[in-house]
Amino acid sequence: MMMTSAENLAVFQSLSDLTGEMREAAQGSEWDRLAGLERRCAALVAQLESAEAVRLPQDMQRQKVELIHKILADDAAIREYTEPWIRQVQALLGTASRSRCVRQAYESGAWNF
Amino acid sequence: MAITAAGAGSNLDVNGIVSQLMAAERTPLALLQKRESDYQAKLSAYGTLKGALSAFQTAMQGLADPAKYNAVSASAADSSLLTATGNSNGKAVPGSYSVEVQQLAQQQKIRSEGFASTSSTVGSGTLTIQYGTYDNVLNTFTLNNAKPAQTITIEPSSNTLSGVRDAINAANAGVSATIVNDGAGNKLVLTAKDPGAASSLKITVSDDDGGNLDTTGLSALAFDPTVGGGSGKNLIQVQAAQDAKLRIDGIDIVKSSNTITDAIEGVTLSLLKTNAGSPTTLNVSPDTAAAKTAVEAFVKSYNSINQTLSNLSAYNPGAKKGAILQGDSAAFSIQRGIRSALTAMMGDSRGFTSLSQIGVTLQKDGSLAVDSAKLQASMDTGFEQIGRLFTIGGTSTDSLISYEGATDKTVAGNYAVTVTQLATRGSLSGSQAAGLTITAGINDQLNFNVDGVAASITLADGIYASADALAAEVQSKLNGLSGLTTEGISVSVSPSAGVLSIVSSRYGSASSVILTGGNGAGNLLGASPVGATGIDVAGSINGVSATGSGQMLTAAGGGSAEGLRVAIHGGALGTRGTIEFSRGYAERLSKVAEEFLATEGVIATRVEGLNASIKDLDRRQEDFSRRLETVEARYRAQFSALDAMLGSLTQTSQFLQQQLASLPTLNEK
Repeated sequence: MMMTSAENLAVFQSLSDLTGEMREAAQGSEWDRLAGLERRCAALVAQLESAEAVRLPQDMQRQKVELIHKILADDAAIREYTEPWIRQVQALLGTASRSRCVRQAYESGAWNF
Repeated sequence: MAITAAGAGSNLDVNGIVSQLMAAERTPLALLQKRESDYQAKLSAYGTLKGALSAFQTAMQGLADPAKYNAVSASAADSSLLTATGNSNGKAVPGSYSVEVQQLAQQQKIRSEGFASTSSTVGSGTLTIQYGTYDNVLNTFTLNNAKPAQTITIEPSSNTLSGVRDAINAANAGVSATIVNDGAGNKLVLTAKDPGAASSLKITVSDDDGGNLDTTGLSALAFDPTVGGGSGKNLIQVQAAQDAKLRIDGIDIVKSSNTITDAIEGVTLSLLKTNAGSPTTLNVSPDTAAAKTAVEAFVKSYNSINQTLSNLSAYNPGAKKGAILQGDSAAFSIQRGIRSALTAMMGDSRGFTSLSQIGVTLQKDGSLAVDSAKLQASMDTGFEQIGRLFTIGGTSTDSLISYEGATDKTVAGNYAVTVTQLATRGSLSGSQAAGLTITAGINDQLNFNVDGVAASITLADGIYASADALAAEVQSKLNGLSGLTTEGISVSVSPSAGVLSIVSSRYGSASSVILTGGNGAGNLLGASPVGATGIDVAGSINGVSATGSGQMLTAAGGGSAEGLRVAIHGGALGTRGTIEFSRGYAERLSKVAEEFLATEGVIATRVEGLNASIKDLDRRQEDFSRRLETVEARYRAQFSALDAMLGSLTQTSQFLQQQLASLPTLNEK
């Protein structure tokens, strides 16, 4: 598949927009939304992977590098927000605090997330 | 740039994490299950309590029987002559009596002539059996007013000797029939069920072959002792009816039965053989052993329920643990109810009023103990008072007033009775002397209404010897009607200067005898017989106007005598002494147990509540389990999604880093 330089840059722009949204979703613990957005990202990346390499003019290339750096920064931020949730799950499994946490969650109604 | 997977992504054991997480989420469910099993344990404890209380109630009901405490032992020096036992009424007076049995009572036996076989034809029709006394000197048969006439129908389908035997036995008419084969023939033997001279038989036959007196057909079974053989006296007497004759302390006594309940008050005698000329000695003494057994049984029953209650509700200091019903208000109220019944004053003012007076005392642990010596001493001094302490009952100072009953609300005490009106019975008196000639189909039919029930009779035809004989016939026929006997209605018929009057045996406003017709009405009672409806007794108990019904006077509600019932059998109007009413421990405790066991009682209410709670817990557990499933599905979906997402995200970042690496010109710049 052929892709014009403008198209190629537009895909990176879309990726950057999506990872920005993912960053917000991860920050808000909206796990279902996060997973949905990520599927759209993965589709765009698959599109890029299947396309032949495009040679971009220098200014567009600079924009592309900036977009990739921004996306990788989003990636790191997303992990930063997601990992505490994973750790929280692991903490729930800790024998000492498990039942107390669950009971507190149960009694406050928070368990019904 | 720090991009790390941090143990996330595909390294996560989703199933393991979710299942462990769910185990934690189930903690509240385990709490619900624990609560439910606590409730189940309580339910089972109530079951145990109910069983124990029920057994206690049964025991107390048995021990509320006055006969248990007032028994007398009676024994004859020669027990082959007679045996004696104390009556349940407890009125036997200790002492010794000289008893001479001169003649034993026996029942009449009469037999038929021999029939070739048990299937030989006898005949069909009806047999009317009457009971009375046959005087062989005067050759008269006097009807027994207490034993109504009985009619047995022999259907043509059962007209054989064995068929007649079966029909007589099935009729249960006070006569039993057997067939005796003497080698020459089969004889039908009729035996009166009751012994005594007044239970001689007279059998009149209405034979389907038309000849009621001859020896052909069913009339072969006719037996009128006053006529000749072959003309109405066609059976042969094998054994004459006779009364028992005895002499007690020089007094001649004649009784119809060998079981005599009313010769010596409170003692039942059973005569076995005669001892004319050599009297035996009968000793009557209080049966203190039986009374002691009853008191001990009371204590044992009480201790048993007390132990059950304590086992179920006490704190066990050894195990540092309360029993399953510790602090339970229902168990506590049962314990308190039973204890307070035990410490209340019982009996009446003339006898013992508390258990401690007879040597039964409450121990520190709540159980009862018996001081045998003190119990024996109290029986020696006041044997007849012991029963009052345990049983419900009343005694009257007036012999014509009797205690009949009380309700749960009647309080033990001494209550004055005043009578302002005596009860009377409904009656009907003829306006002229009765005609003694009764002709079948002409003047033998009479229709009455007795106590509101229709009663039609057909008198036996013939010329009656006296108004007494006719009166006996009318009474016998009326009292033999099943329509009246099933209602418990009976009459007595007596003549005065030849004029008959019929009196209902019932007292009060429901009692009446009304002539409603019949071709014999005018002949028997004249043109204008006079009827009178009965009236109810009226008066007061404990100073409060009481309700009268027949001879029964019932104390009105509100006062302490409420529900007390006495029968006024006669006597003068005005103040009539007092009724001493006592309510005993056994009776009271039986009632207390009954209340606790009632459908609306404390145990039933509690069990119902527990069952409802258990049902609610079941429902909550079900709800909770359903919600847990939702939670688990949600966990699982999120874990899977995040797991997949983190993996995919890593691929993306790797791809982007490759892209960066493949841009050398920019990097070189």
